Amino acid sequence: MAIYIELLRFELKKIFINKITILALTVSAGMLLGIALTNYLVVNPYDRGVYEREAALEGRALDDALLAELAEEAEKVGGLSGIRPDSPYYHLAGYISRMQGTYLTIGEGLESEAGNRELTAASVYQMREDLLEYIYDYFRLSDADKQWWKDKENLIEKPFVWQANFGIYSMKSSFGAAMNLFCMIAAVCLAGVYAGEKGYRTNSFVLSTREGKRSLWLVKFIAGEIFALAAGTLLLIAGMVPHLLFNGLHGINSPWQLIVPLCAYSYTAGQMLARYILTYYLGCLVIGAMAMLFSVLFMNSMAAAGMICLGLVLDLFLSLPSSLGLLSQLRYLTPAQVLINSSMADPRLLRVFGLVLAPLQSAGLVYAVLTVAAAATVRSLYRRQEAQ
Amino acid sequence: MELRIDRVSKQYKNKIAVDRLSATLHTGVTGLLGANGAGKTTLMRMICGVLTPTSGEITYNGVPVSEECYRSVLGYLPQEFGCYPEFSGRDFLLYFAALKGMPRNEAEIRSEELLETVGLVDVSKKRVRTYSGGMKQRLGIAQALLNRPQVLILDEPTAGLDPMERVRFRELIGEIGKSSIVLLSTHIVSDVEHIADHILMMKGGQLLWQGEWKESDGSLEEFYLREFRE
Repeated sequence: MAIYIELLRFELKKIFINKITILALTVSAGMLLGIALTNYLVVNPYDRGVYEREAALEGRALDDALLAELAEEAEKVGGLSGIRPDSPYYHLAGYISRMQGTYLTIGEGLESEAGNRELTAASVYQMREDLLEYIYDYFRLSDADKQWWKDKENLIEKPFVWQANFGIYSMKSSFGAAMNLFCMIAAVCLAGVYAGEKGYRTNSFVLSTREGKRSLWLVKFIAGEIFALAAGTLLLIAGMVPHLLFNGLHGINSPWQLIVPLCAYSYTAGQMLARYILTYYLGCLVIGAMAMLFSVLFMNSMAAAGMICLGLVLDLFLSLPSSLGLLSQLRYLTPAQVLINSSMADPRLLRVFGLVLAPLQSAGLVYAVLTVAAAATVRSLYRRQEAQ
Repeated sequence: MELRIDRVSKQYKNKIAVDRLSATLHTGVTGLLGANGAGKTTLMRMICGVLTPTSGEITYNGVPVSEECYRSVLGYLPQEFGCYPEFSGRDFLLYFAALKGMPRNEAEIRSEELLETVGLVDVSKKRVRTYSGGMKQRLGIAQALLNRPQVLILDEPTAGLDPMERVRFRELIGEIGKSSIVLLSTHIVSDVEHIADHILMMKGGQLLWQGEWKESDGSLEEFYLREFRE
């Protein structure tokens, strides 16, 4: 065991004590931190009084009474979009506007009194239900799957209890950016885990040793995954720290529907963020595993990095319609896509051995299976290696 | 101790690098001579188990060289090799000691010993990327000797060494050859002339000549040049 720990130490050293790794991590973390701080300090300067102003709305039900106050405020300034940041109703107005905007964009043909923008509890909640129904049809959910979501919806406490949650909303948004940057980090830093031995011309040395043929593939893989978790943590902290500094955990107990309106998970924002963090880390592991798989497959760091970058570009731009069924569902299970979804969540379910898995759960399972499959493939490819 | 090479061939798409070569090596130093492209490196890689023969078999004391137990007694210095630039010389040896299955304490003692032997103690904590070519070569030699190998395969080991280092190296190999099988390939005939008990000469993937060479047989270099001209 001591030998494997010693080997692990050196493999970690190869990855971490590398100028390119240090540069890539510094630049990426710096970018995330810088963008968030710039937003708080320059673009949308942080308003210290926001929580005091909105304190009167905290803990109130999003019902007719609260919406009537919002409607009165909106009437003074010519509509929801006219409500200024210094108004205590600013963020509530933003929340309703986001839903109405989605409704107007995709809700053509939807019939409900929400169509005429009435600010009543009936219209707002009906609008949300209509949109959910539309989304279920758009993604071609079966009746059984729709019923599954409706059963989840019934667990959600209504009316929603309002809490100012823009800090949580921003934190949620940082997952996607961190994930995309992590893909770049994996391409730069993990593509050489196996291919680097050929690049350094140490292949012959290594393959002629006892552990070089036997266990080194696994030690390298573990080292790569440790790096993936460490780099992922650094990026996540860099993305989250500004939001935590300025907003703390305000809104952590708000219903998730106040962050992602068109989602039927019956969890609080804090519970969902914990799930996001788990999914994020599993995503880091699977991306790291893929980078190492390409590394041993091509035995060329540039080729391996290129494949990861290609994957990133395809993930950003490739669109598959929901009519393609499982193919489309799997395409949108990539870590960045799962973490990025903004005002609505992909509702497609996965049924595995009698279990019904929602997207975050499906993603976690798929990533775990892919990571293990990648490890098995790495083992097979590595052991067939020869020093040419 | 016996390293048996039995009708071993290695064929690539349109080239036969090693052609039905047979030889048996025993304790002592065997010099492997041949021009560039003769197949020496390919043969050595097959002996080390890092390249699979197209046909034939190589065994050590009856055990195929593809077995894990063989790699525990093997020391190998490739012809062209690199090092991890950010590792120190000491790190490099400790890493390979771990790859060879040596416990940490033993590895540290042995590494210090070998760094002393190859004259790299003063620079052992410096990064390998600061080493000269000769220093890297000496580090490679030290690596090959870490596990006190019973089979030591050295491919062009004196490349980059200055004359004094080459003399020291020959003495070291001569000592090791008393209790191990050493196969040493080189272009420089004088490297093997004085220390090799047995000579193999390769040309075009085939064994041109093999036998014992004693000082009384005359100049090995002249014999080598004569054989290759024919």
